Amino acid sequence: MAGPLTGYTVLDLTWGIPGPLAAMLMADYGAEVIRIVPPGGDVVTHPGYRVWNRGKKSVTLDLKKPEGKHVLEKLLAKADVLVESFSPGVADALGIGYEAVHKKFPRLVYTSISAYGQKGSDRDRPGYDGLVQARVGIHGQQTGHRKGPIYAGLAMPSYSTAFNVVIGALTALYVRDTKTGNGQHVDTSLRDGALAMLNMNWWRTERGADKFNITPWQKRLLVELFECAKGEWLQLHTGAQGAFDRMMEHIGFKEYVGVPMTGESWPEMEKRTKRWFLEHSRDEGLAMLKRADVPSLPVLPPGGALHDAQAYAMKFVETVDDPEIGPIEEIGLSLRFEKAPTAIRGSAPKKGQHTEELLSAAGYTKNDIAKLRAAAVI
Amino acid sequence: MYALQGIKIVDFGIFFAGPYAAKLLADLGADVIKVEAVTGDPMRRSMGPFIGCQRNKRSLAVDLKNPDGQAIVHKLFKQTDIVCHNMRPGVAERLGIGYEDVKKFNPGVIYMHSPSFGTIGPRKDQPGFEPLVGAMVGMAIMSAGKGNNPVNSVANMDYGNGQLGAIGLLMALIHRAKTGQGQKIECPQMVSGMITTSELHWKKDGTLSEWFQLDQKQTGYGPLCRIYPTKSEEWICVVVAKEKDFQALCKTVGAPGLSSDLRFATKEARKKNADSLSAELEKLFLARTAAEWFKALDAAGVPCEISEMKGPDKLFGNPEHVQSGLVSVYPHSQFGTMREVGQIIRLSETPGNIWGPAPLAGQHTRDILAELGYTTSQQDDLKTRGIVNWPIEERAKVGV
Repeated sequence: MAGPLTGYTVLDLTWGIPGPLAAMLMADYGAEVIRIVPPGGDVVTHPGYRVWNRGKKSVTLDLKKPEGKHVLEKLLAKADVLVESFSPGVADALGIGYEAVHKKFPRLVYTSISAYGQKGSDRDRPGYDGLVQARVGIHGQQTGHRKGPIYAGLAMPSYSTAFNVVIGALTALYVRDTKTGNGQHVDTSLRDGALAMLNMNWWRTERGADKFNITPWQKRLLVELFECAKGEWLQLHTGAQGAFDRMMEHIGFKEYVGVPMTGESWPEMEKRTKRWFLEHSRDEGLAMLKRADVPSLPVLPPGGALHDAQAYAMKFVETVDDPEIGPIEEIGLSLRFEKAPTAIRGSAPKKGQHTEELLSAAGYTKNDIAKLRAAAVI
Repeated sequence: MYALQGIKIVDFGIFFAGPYAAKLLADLGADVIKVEAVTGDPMRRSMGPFIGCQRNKRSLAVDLKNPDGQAIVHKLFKQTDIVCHNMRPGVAERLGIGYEDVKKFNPGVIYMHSPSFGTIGPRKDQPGFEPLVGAMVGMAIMSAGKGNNPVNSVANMDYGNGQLGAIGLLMALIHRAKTGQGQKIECPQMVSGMITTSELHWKKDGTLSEWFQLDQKQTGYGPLCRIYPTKSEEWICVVVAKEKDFQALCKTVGAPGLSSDLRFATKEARKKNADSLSAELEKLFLARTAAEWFKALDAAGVPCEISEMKGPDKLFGNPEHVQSGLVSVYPHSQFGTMREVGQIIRLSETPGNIWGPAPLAGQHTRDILAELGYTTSQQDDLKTRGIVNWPIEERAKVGV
């Protein structure tokens, strides 16, 4: 099956969350992704690597050795995209920075992931997701059970960056193939990722319209998590037109239908609504909201969505036979292309599983490969 | 030349997720026409989200139920590369803007539908909305802290679906460049939410893969990856992964003995005695202000930051970021000078282009009609008959 990215080769020289996940998204749609790790394996690993490295080929390579760099160049010669996540300046020091690589391989799209970007005064700040959360201001935005900053429960900047990496790399590929014939440097960071998920409320104006007025319509906006019987939770949203009135009607609070909600009636309504859900099972609550055509969903524990009936129907979950941990149920394909359907290319590889295959394809003899292995280059 | 200069998108997106996909491509240089009702997109009442996903677009306000209004949209279909929307399954078809309808005017079109759950399955007709989808994929419980009631996550999956949508459109553009074919893409919001927790997988024995659970006080993931209260109101965040950083931390907080204390001397010991180490460090961090700690820890090479609580003010006020384009500044017709998050993906040779804020309803109706060949008197006639709309002249003039 030919996917939209079939025929493209991506070199994945990353760790952490964004790079491996971004490269997975490209592999899912047809790209041949070669993940390069040091001969000793990933320095820091992540439970997500069994998923995020799926469908990739694995090559071990010591980039600090000149022979290792030479092998990398052979691979670069056939690649369309490189994704790297070295701290800014490190790739240059290794001799594989953008300038050097672009000179030799002008068609290559060189994609860099960093904490704060390749330029600017924050460039060398430490690059952990949690620290970027702190510096950008995410700890001030997360809802909590106490006052003060709240640590985010998932690495939001990293996931957002994964998306941005793919957007940047594909844009540059498209520009190369339709306009310029040349690759370029794509620069995106965890800070950029964080900002890409904050801009709904992160804007400022001279005349102070930042906090929009609570209009009577806004007073009909109920977006809340509700506890139901047996400690199960659901969440609902009355943002759609008429949703608030429909919910009040179906829950049986007809006195709130069609009347302006006030400072007194609103908290009273919330209190009564809370009590109603506590006295009903989640299924009953969701059924009521469905009848009222009010958006509502169960609040599920981590991994719960993978077992939702919708996930099976849409193949948002698939079973992949992993060589290290056996068959696992993991996220399936996300996008569907009418004319370029794809399937998951396979499991995550074992470390260095494809080193020989890819080096042979790059022209190395069995003897060369044995020498490289003896010298701990691969 | 801007990266996506020349790419035309007709965006019927509503709420946030759908329009955000087109906005991301607009930021990279695509020409996006936002099609909305003559009375304006109802989402305009929710100004924050509206502004966050509509900038850099031109607005055409048109009545899709009127045949003359439909004729305008059909002309747009003929010359566009992409049409996208995120209505519930079946709604676009009823409005006459389904994939089959658009293909009649443009057989090579790229058409993206971003439904909440997909076009098949038990939830297909359910509306999505954030933060509901995020809570469903586990984010509300992951954000709660151990044993606590769920809370909404700061990571809102409207953004994630927009980002995934932008990826889908780019893949389809690449496919079209190779084959000449357009196609339909489906980009469901539920699965874009699942990408943000995609490390999770179920093993054969029925257990879930390891995931990092936030502590009960919502300070982080253990003594060496968390935020600490200090003598001042501000908190300090430290992430210490390397042995040398741990030693530097202990020294800087005035307790060098901690790193040789048998309870904390090795990684394994620190994991076992995490609560004691957290308690020790909590006491120590109360001795100085966050600013003092930052200075000392940073000088000692310990990875740390102060948790910024004031939103984007510092970032937006920094001339360095305005100059680099990370923050964009432009006039808004109603609010005066406006600052927004600027370019978040930098391309060295063909950059993106951010030229203005979210348009007023129908702000570009006249321009777009003129481009489609409508004369001024035809435009006026359409407006008089209520088929198209634009803002009163004064407001339009100050707009960008």
